[in-house]
Amino acid sequence: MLKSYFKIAFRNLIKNRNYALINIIGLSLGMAAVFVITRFVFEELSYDQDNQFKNRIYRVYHDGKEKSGATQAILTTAIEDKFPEIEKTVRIGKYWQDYNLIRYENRIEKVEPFYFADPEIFDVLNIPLLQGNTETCLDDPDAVVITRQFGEKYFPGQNPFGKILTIRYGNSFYDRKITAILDEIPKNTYLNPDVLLPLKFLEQVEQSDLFTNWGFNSVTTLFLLKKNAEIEQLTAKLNNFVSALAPEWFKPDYRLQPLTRVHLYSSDISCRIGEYGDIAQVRLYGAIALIILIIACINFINLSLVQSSRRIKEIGVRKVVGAGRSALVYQSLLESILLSVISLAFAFLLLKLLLPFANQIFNRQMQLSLTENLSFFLVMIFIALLVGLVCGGSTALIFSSLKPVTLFSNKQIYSSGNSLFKRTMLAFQFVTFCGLIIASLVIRNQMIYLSGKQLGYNTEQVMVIMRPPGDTNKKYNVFASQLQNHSAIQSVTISSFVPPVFGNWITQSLEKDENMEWVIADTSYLSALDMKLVAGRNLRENEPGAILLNETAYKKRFSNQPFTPDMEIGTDNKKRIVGVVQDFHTHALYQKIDPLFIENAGIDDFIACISIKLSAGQIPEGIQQAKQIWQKIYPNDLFSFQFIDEKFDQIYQNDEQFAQLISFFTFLAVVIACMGLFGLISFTAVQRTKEIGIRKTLGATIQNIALLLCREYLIIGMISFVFAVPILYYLMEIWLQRFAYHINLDWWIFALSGLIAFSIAALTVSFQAIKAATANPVESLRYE
Amino acid sequence: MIKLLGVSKYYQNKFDKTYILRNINLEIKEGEFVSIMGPSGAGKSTLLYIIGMLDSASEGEYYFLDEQVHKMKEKRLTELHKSHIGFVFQQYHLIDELTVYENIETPLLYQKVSGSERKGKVAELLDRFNMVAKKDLFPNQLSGGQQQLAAIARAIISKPKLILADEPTGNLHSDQGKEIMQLLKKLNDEGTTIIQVTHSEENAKYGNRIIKLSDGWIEKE
Repeated sequence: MLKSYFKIAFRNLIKNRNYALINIIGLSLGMAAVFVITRFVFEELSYDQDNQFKNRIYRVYHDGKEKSGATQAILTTAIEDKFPEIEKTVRIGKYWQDYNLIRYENRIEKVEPFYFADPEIFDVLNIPLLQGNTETCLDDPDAVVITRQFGEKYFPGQNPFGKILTIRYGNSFYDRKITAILDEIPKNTYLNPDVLLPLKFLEQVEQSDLFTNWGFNSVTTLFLLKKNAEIEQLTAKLNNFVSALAPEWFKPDYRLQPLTRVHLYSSDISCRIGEYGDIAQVRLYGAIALIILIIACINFINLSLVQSSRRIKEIGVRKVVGAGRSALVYQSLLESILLSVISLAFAFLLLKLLLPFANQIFNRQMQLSLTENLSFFLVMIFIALLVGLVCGGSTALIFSSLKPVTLFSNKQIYSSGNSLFKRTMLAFQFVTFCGLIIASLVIRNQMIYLSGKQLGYNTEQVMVIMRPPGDTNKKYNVFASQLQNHSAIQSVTISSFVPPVFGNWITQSLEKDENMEWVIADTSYLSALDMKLVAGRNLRENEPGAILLNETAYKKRFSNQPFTPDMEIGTDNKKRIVGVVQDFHTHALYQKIDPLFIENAGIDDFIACISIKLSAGQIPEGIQQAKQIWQKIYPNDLFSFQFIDEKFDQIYQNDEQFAQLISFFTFLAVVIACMGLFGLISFTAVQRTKEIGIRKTLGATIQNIALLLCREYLIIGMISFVFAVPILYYLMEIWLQRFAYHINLDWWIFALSGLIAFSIAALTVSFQAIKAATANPVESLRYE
Repeated sequence: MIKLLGVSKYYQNKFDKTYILRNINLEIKEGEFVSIMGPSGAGKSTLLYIIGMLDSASEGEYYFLDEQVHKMKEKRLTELHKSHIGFVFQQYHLIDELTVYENIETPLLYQKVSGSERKGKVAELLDRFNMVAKKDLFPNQLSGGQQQLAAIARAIISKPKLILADEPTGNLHSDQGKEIMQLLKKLNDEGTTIIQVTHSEENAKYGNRIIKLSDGWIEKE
């Protein structure tokens, strides 16, 4: 029996190979997209699930107006042995990450951030050691622990255990002895250190009160709790205990977050260490996956229904020779499951091909291995079978219930016209189709707007170097003056902050309760960044108390009052305004321009970035010259720079990825929907061959016939578009709220989307319609 | 074997009923060869389909081998008709995707006959109908007469008590038609009950009883 079903199924596939191909391609594209997203969702959900104590580890965070994961180092020592529920605590810190360097064989390299940790980290986070002792390897302040891969890079072919590694921390170099080698840590772990240093090291080199002062929010604290610990009670007890112990100004607001929620549910908690995801993103992508799967299924059902209507005769004959209803249902299910399994195979191949791109877009290192991702594979197979069952089941139920006599009477049970079922499904497909086109147009437009917006300063020719720690003004002046001797370099400036995020973002209140952004910069700041003065003059050397305001600050304080030289601002802290600088975007376009002042104050601590403006067309030469001079003057520091526009690209990376993903899905949905439409219209044409022939003999023109065939789809398409517009308007408004500066949702975007959707659909449909309409009527009538 | 009591068939429209069959009373005994005749639209095929349990009557009672067909569940109907009734159509109705051999085999598959037994039965029939050389061909590679032969082979493979033939020679040349009619006659001689719908007086002569239908009524016998 089964054999016979398979035989029929295969012969049908081959006989109707075009439609089978449409079906399989559509379904495998849909499945592949779903699988890529599912793989990502699985990855995100798998974080820290392998930890044997996963249900007993909690992260401490501050639950104030702004949540923060940075806690006090003293907390751990203060509560030691006071809480029976807490089995172990571990503190982890990450400092000076821009300046973490490794030196070996006279070369200096930047490395992934160093983590500082208590020895308990190995027990709590389940980090396996290849060599060394978990109890003692972080005891000695001179110790360092590295991963195997890290060791292979710096000590190729040798066992790094016991060797000396020179690290740069802050301003100095330290020789550290390797006391343990870490085994590979799975990627889906919250904390994935390359280099671990003992927290005691910090006690040696940092200010002494880092470990004693309740004002330093400096470490991440993890608790390993005893089994069945009461979290609410413990949190209350902890806050009360600290409240009694700490100085009066310190108001503890600790809360505990389970380790398993750290990866996905921390988007509102600042001061993170480790790798984070976002549950909102996971949900959004999950929803997209579901929609794509539904589109692909609808396609599949529609195509198999119209196709089955050609097989009514076969079904009838089978009933006549004795097939019961269940036998027919089995056959139908078997056929659609066969199709979905074939599609599964293709989808799997596609997934394999797409995974590197997916890794890039999602910024993960996902793998496909049968043993490690078994549950993922099972879900994939389950999805494929489910698709087959649902699609086969719905066709089977419709056909098996028919009486054999009706089956012989050549009636069109699922004809081109009157099926509400088919129309609803088509409409859903069209709504998604139009919706995705609108979404990708809006998102792409916003991205173009972001990159094209005039920011008020030069982003393309300016490279920014972080100033080495411990640099002195004297040293810098030598560096700057040597740079200026070269033609490829136009100007150099040193400042506390360079937009959008270089250096230190500090605020200062000049007048009561009026916080202003404060940029400390030398006199060439404006010229290096091409900022314009709208009134007054630039800052001069040795001019204490002189400041520049931006337009926003000026308007806020003086409204429409005209600028006169040496206006004053400030109550206790009086400043002289020498000029007004044109508004420039201090931050990325997520944020509004805030009031700001620029001051040439010599506060060394804050001054963090060196910006070099290169001559247009001489950028490689400029970089080369800067590098040579740098190596002469700062031999112990790495020459590492970034152009401002690169930084912007980095900041917008998430949105750019989102835009790419939506474009990809739009493309996919368009392809799937078009194939489905193409399949439907060609079936309609075949089914109505006779009608078309008769109409033509009665004098119908090609246009009449083509319109007759397309009309239904055009009407459904238009109605769907009307539905899609308000939904997408709402969703896109929400998305655009991310940006302080964004495009308007003008009518033309929707009109253009409609036009694109209409053109694609019309092109797909009209091709087949015209083909059917131009066929010789005699041919089509003789067919009977 | 077959007993129809007051059987009618109609389609309900908005305002009235369109009758296809009216108050049919009919008894057919085992071993008969009955021909149903009448003009187009008289209800011949409908009557045949009701007897063959492919369609159901709107009114009346139908007994097949003394079982009440009009009260039967679908599952039992399928059981009954697949073990006792074979069908032959004017358009042959072979399954296009299956070879001659597979087409003939299909009813046995639905009756869950074992593989070796199936092989034997199909081989025997192919031999009897001189179609061994054609067994791996698909229906569209055969002439009309050969297709009808294959269809008859399929109808009788499970040794049904009753064969229903709906204008079995309607699409055939006269020579081929004769051959088919002789075959049916032979089957009848071997004991199979046969009911055929036909337009041709000549074909009707192969049978031993003629039922004339007109406008849904049985005219005379």
